[in-house]
Amino acid sequence: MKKIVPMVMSLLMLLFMFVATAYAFFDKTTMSKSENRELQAMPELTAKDWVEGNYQDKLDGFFSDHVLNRSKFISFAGYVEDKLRLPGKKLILKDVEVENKGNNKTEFVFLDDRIVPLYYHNDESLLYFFNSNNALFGCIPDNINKYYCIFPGRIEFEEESVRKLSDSGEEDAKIIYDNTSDNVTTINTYDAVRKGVEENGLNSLYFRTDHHWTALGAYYAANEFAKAAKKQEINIADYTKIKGFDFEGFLSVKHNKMGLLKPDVLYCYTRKTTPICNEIVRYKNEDTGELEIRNEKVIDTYRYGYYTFVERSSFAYAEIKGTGEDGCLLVLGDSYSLAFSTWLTHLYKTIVIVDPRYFDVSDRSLQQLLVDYEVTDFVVGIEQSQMSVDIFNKIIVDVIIDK
Amino acid sequence: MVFSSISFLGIFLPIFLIAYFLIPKRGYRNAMIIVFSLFFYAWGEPIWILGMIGLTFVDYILALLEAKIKNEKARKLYLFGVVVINLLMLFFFKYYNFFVGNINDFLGLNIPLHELRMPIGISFFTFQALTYVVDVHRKNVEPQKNYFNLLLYISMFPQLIAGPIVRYADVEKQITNRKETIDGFNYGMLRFAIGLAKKVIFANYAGLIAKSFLGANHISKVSTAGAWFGMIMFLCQLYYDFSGYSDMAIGLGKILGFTYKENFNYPYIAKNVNDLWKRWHISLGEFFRDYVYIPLGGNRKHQYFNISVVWLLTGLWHGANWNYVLWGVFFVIILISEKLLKKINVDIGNIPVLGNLGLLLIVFVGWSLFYFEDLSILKQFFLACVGLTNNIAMGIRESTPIYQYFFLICVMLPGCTPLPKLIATKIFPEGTTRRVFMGSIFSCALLFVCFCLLLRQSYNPFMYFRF
Repeated sequence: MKKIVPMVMSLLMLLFMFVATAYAFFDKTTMSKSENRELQAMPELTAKDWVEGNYQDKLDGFFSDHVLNRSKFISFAGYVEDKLRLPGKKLILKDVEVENKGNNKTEFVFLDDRIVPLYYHNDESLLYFFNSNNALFGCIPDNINKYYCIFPGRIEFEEESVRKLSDSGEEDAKIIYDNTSDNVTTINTYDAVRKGVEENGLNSLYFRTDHHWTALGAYYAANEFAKAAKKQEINIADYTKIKGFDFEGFLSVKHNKMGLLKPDVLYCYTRKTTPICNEIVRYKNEDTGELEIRNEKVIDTYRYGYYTFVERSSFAYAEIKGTGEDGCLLVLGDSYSLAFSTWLTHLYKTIVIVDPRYFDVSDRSLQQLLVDYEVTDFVVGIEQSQMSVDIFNKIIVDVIIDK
Repeated sequence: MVFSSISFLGIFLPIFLIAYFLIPKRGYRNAMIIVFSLFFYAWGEPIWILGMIGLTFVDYILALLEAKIKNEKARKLYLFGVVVINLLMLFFFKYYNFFVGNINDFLGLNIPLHELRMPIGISFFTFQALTYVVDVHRKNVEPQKNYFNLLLYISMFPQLIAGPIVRYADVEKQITNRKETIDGFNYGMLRFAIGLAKKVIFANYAGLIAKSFLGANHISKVSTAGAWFGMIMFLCQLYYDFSGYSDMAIGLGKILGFTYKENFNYPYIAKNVNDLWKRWHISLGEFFRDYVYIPLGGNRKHQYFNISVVWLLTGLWHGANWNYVLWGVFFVIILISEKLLKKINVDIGNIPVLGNLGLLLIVFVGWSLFYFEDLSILKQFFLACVGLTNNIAMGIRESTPIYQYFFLICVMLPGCTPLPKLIATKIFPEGTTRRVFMGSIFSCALLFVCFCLLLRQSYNPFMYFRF
C-alpha cells in the first residue's frame, strides 16, 4: 500500500499532463489574445509533410498552443523564471526579433516594475532617417502645410540611473530638426511631454509593460501640434477620462514576462460635447491580398491595450471622420501617431492615418491620397526609435517616395 | 521526437505506459516497445528509420551466419567485414563529407559531396549494433534467434537517440526475462523527472547564459570575466544536458523493467583526466576500451599509440570537424602526460583541491575545443580568457544573464557534485518509505514545472543528437 501511493501520484501526474495536452483536440481557440497571433491549427497529414518533418513540427506546435489552461501554465513558468533572478538589479534584455533590424541595436532594460526600451544613436541610421524624411517632405506639394513630430520614448524621462544606459533621442531629434528645411514646421514634443511628466508622473504618460505612450502622453504632443498648426489649444478639461481594461503590454508579452509585472491601467479620453468619432479602416487581407474595409470607432476599449486607439492591427490606412468644420490632416507615422491622432479629431473634418510599413500603394499612392482627400495639413509623426532603426525609413523610400 | 517536448510528455509517454501495462504478456509488451520505439524514431526520421531497421536485420543475419564459420582466421576476417558493414552507414552520413572535403582541399580535387542530413542517433545505435556483433564473435553472447528481440534492443526509445550505449550482453536476458515492479516504477519516474529537470531547467538556461557570452554575436566583445563565466556555463550545460538525458533513459528503462548501467558519476569531482573519463559518458569510454583499446593491445603493448588511436576516434565520434580532432589530440597529450608523471610517482590528482582545480582547468580548455567549431573564434576566446582583450570586467549588459538567473546558477554549480544527493539522503535515508513518498512528490513537482517551462520554450533538441 505504501509503495502504491507514490506510484499512483506519478500516474495521476501523467494523467494530468495527458488530459491537458489531449484537450488540444477539442480546443476551438484560434487566436491568442495576449500574444496577438494565430494559434497553430491541427496540421493536415500529407506524405510530403511527414517525410520532410513539417507535419511533426506543426503537430508539436499544435499541442503546445492548445494545452488546457495554457496561459496559466505559461504564467506560472514566468513566475518560476522570475524567481530565479536577483531582484532590484537592472537587466538589459536584447530584442528577441532582430532578423529585420540588420545591425540596428534594440535593447530593453527590465526593472522590477517596468520594461523600458533603450535608444541607440547610430550615425548611418540617423543620416538615412534624415534623408528619407527630407525626400518625403519634398514630395508633398507646397500648398499643404507640413509638420514634423518626433515623439520621445519613455527612456528620455526616466531616472538618471536608467537614462544613462541609453543614448539621447532628444539630441538626435534636435539634429534632425536643425537640418530640416524651413518649409517644414518642426515641433518640439520633448519639452511638452516633459512638462506632462512633471505634472502627472511618468507612469501616467507611458505604459510600464508596453513600448507606447498613454493617451495622456499623446495629449501633450498633440496639444503642441495644435499650437504649431495655429489651431485651438486642446483643453483636457473638455474631455471625460474613461478607464479601460487592465492589460499586459507588448514588451511584457514579447519577453515572456506575463504575470510578473503589475498590468498597465488603460485610460482614454473622449470629448464631452461630441460622440466618439467613426472611422473607416482599410487593411490588406493576408489570404486574398485584397484591401478590405472595416468600420470602427476611433477609441474602443474592447480592442484591448494600445489597440484601443484607432485600430487593432496593421492597416493600410485609416480615415477618421472628424468633427471639425474643415481641413484634412494626413498623419504619416508609426503606432505612436494613433493615440496622437485621437486628440485632433475635433480640429479637422477628416484625418487620414498612414503607417508606411503596411501602406499598400497598389490601391492608392500617397500622392493620390493627398489629392483624393484634399489634404490641407501633413504631419510625419514617429517615435524616436525610428531614427536608429532602418526598416521604417527604407519603406518610406521604397514604397512611398518611389511610387 | 524528444523527451523534453509536450508531444512526448503529454501524449506519447502516457499512451505508451497505459498500453504497455495493460498487456500482461511479456511477448506483447515487447511488441509494444518495438511499435512505440519505431514510431518514436520515425517521428524524427521518417525515411532513415528504414536504415536502422535494415542495419538491425543485416546484423541479425550476419550474427547467425557467423556461428557456421569454424575457422578462427576466417571468423576474424568475417568480423572485420561485419564491422565495416556496420560502419558504412555511419561513415557515409557523418564522415564522408569531412574526409572527402579535406582531400579535395588538400589535393585540389573536386570529388562530389552529398547533402544528406545525418540520421538522428546514428552514432549511438551503430555502436550498440557493434557491441552485439562483436560480443557474438567473442562468444560472450549467443546470436539472437528472434529478430524482433534484436530490434527491440537496438530501437528501444529510451536510449535510441542519445544513449547511453547499452551493451547487448547487459540486457540480453532482460529482453525476455525481466520484472516490472512498483519500486522500479517509482524509482524510474523519479529518475526520469530529475533527468527532465536537468535538461529543461539547468541545461537550457545554462546554454542561454553561455550563448549570451560566447555566441557568435558576442564573442568579439566578451570580457575576460565573461569568457570564463560563459565557458563555465557551457560546462554545466554539457553535463546537465547529457547526464539529464541519460537519467531519463535509465529511468524509463527502469519503469519497463530494464536496468541500465550508469553513464555519469559526477565527472567534475574527478581527480585527474583518467578518472574523468571513468565518470563522463562511461558507456562510450567502456566501448572504446573494450572494443578498440584492449584489442589493440591495451596497456600491454604500444600503449601510447593505443591511447592516441582511441582518443582520435573518440574525438571524431563527437563530430566530423577539425576542432573535435584537436579535442582528441588534447586529451591524448594530457592522458599520456599523466601516465608519464605517474611513472615518476607524480600524481597531481592526489593534491587536495588543487588537483581537482587542475582537472577543471583541463576540462575548461577541452570543452572550449568542443564549443567552438571555428578555430579562429576559439583563438579569440582564449585571448579573452587570458586578458588580451579590451575588457577585463563585466559591464552591466554582460552581467544581465547572471542577475537574471542568479539563484539558478547558485543551485546549478553545486548540483554538479554529489552534494544534493548527500543532503537528500541525510534528510530522507535510503530504504525508508518517507524517501519514496517524498521522491514521488518531488518528481511530480519537477514534471509540472518542466511541463510549464516547455510550454514557453521553443523546439528544444538535445545536444547529443548531432552525434
